[in-house]
Amino acid sequence: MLFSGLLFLAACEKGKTPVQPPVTPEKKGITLSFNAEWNGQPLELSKMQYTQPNGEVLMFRTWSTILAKLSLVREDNTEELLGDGYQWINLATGRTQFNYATASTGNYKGIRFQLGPDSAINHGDPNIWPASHPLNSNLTGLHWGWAGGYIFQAIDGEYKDNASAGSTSGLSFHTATDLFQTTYFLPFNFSLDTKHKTANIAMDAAIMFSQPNAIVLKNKSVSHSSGPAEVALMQKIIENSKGAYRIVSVN
Amino acid sequence: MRLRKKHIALFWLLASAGLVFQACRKDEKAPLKKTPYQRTYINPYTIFPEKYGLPQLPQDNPLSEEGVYLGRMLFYDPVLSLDSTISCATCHNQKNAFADPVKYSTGIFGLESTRNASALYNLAYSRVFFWDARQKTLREQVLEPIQAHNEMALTLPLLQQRLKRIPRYKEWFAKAFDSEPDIFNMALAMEQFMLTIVSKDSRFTDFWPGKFSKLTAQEREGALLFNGLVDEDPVTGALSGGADCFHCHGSVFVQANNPNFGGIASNGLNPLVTDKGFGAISGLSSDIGTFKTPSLLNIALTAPYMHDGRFKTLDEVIDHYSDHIRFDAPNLHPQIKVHGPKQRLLTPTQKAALKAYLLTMTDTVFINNPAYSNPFK
Repeated sequence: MLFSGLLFLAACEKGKTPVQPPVTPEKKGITLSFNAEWNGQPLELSKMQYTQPNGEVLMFRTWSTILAKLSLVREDNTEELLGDGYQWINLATGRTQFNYATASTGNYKGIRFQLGPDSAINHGDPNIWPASHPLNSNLTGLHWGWAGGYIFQAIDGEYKDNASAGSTSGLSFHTATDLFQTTYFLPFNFSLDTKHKTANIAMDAAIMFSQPNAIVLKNKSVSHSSGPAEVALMQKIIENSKGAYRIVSVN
Repeated sequence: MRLRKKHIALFWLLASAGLVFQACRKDEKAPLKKTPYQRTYINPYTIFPEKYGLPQLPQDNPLSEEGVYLGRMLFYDPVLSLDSTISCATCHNQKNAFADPVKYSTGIFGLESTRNASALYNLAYSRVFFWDARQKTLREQVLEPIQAHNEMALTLPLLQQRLKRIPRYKEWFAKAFDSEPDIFNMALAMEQFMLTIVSKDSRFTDFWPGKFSKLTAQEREGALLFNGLVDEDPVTGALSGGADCFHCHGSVFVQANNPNFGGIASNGLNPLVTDKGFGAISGLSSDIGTFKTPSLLNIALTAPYMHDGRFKTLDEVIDHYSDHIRFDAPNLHPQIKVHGPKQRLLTPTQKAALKAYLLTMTDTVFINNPAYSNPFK
């Protein structure tokens, strides 16, 4: 009986390709992991707990950023474009990790990206992009339709004057317009071989709001990158942001 | 005895071999399957205009003429309610952009709903449904009103039994899905129909984003207010400039479709929240009192306004945003909160201009489109 059963099973398998155990392909390439921080500690949205040097306490609801020309920078300063170079970071949904399986092996000295797309694309039709593309305005909402172009980065939330204050006020920093297309280079020596690696990139809001330019929210807590006062404020934020983005590790 | 045992063993071996042979030939001997109905699949480019771009459609539910028509029949069929008096269309009237012109809709036995019925169009571009954003797909969304005690109050098993008894559904489920009527495919058919409901022919859609020449002077002033930022006088602190509607009602959809960026928000209606909205779904205090941001296309057709239908007219809505924002409302959207505690205080002329601009968003082609109308008439 046992023999017959085995025969039965074997006969029905005849002609089929033998089932092979799944083979894990040899991985290479790199994952970029963007991590929001406050003074080096993980930043959580919707928590009123982040204290500025001037005592103001902040809470963030939105941190959403469009990157362009996202590239690995080789030692000879040439670039390896990752995908088509565009990416959308959205803290609220945890869209912070981006996998590039086909990145070339070699030695690199850092990562470079531009905040926001080039001018032609910035002022082009946002609906030409596929529904899941970082530049699709319906996906991200990061577009001012009325000739304003893309919002490159939106950081929204609330603050209060000090820890004991009862009421809160809004804060809103929307980086936009060609003036603020900004290139970032994050230095870090690493090599890619047949082992897949992860680059951990910090986005430190504490630096964004205090170093080197102290942003005093009670003086002004909103900038849409338009008008003299808001442009001046955004310039400070952008200058700060150059230190806010940094590669922590590649491993 | 030994011989007998050998015979028995041989018998089993041959019998097994025969069984194996038969089993392996089973597929060959099986009668040919009936050729499935050849559905006519719909090219999405014929549904969604270039100006909108293609939405992310569900890959496991391709649009077909048959599926859409089946969904349309179901949408208009009162058999979906317990006493067969109410269909989806009872509270989602095409003439009102598939909204209901009353504060709360009336379900079976005269019971009222607890929120204002939402308008239905361009849903293919939405990622959350219901005022409290509690569903992420239309196929899940459609099952709720059918079962709600104060809406259609029908159980799904009973509905399935009903559908199986109705010849037209036997025919059209077979055409659309090669199946007997069942709830799963019913939901898919209704999803297909609702995905195809597109409003794209308003004057607004024509001139957006920047063909000013197509606007009257008053509409243009309204457009500038709608799409302009609020300015603050550095000396007096008075607010001027635009009314900053576009942050939450931007894009060609006049709606923020990203739930995390204006798509779900509090607009300062109440300092004390009686309806937690999305907060009741997420369980987060930071979401209490927030609701899905509606599109303003066809806004003139969808009164009354807000999740609770509190405002009867567009004038009341404009008055709210201009003069009566409650800056002490919990979780007020940051884009509104940044201007507090000052009200925007639009002039009567500005309010009229804003209203004129909103009226350009009415799509009369859409509300008369026979593709969305009652197929039983």
